[in-house]
Amino acid sequence: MCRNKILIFLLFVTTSLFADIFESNCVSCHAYGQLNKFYSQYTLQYSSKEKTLQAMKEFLQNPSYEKSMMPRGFLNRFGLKEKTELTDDQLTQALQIYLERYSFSNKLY
Amino acid sequence: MFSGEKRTVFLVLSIYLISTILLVVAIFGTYFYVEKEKYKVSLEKQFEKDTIKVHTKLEHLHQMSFKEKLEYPRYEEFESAIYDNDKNLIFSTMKSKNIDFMQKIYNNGNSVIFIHNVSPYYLGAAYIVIEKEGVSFLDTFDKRILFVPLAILLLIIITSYSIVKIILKPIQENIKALDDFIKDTTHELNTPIATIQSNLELLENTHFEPKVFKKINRIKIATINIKKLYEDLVFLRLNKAVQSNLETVDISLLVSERVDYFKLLLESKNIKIIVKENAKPIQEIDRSKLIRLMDNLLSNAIKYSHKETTITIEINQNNFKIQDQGIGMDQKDVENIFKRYTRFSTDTQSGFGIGYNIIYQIIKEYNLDIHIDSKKGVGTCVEIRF
Repeated sequence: MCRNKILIFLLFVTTSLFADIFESNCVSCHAYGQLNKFYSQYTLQYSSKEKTLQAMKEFLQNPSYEKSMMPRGFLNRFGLKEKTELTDDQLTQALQIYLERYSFSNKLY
Repeated sequence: MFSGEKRTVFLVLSIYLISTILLVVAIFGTYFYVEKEKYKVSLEKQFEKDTIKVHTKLEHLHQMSFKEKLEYPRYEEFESAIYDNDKNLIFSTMKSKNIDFMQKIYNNGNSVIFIHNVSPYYLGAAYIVIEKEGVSFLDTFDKRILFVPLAILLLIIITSYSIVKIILKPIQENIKALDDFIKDTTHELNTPIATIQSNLELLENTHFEPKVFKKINRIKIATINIKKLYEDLVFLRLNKAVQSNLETVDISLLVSERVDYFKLLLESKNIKIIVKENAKPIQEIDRSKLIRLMDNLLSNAIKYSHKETTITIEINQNNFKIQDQGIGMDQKDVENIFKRYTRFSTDTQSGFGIGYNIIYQIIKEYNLDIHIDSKKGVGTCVEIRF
């Protein structure tokens, strides 16, 4: 039992140590399905990676009800996302990893 | 045939043909253009249908975008690609890699490329590009229709040649009539001239008193002039079937011969003649024609020289010059001689007679060069270069 806990702890530590900025700041809260949904919605509206990244950044740095992609009902229930604590550079970096990883180009065959 | 006939036929045919070709090209060019535009429109319609097919499939895929793998829609009739609105490639099955987004539809080598804006941006696609092979306008164009303009052109070539021949026929007939007339006249002139000359020769050995001798000399001089005119006329016969007999001619020998021939004329005006033989050139030329050339140059020099002056003839390896001290002419008049006889002119303007016409024809035939240096009141120097 102790061994298992230690293993899990080590696993957690190592994952945290080797987690990139995207993983440590975004994945920790948002499930895969959510991240997928965000990407899908933003791309549908903004098309290119650059424009999507810009839109996402603007929202995260200054969240507002108008800019949000979530339906009203959801926002009423769960409230608006908090402003990000990351610096501009960190945020950009994280979003870049995010967009690269979830890119449709990778999925198409 | 008249001199310049070939040239006239060629010029007229060229102008006629070129203008007709332009007309035919314009007409058929317009036809091709219209057909091409029609085809382009129908092709665009087809491509738009293809785009819609792809876009619909993209919509389905977008709704399933949570999946790990998404199968891109493929069709047999065409290849396609999707680009985002910054023109980055998302996915492609096309052969062509570099797309010109400035155009809507264009040829790229063997295939036609069609670009269409789409929205919403399913899978991020803002542009759907379609590529199809073997559908360019030239591929579908029935080239057999080109036989029509070619047949028309051929027909026009034949008819235009006939027209030109028809037009030239009366001119040719008139020229032949004139030519025959000159031939008959000069032939008939031959006899009396020969009679006069032969009888004058018979009188050579007879002694006369000075007054009579002078008169006989004048007759001899006049006969020489008539003979020269006669020979010029024979040469100028418009019928260009005058044969050219190339012989090896010793120029300096010929010069002294012709000087001798004009001896009486020179003496009558007391003109001294100096021949400077700096070389002994030999030329391959028709002797009688060269005689015509020299006789005309010499007789001009004598005609326009004052009494008691000198005519100098200089013979070099590549040219000969005849310098007189006569009345000379303005540089403008010199240019006029050339202007007049560069065209096919048999116009005998007063002052120059038919002399320069003959000179010019012979020069042209044997590719000789002529240079005239003249000053009014001083004299004239004519140089002929081989």
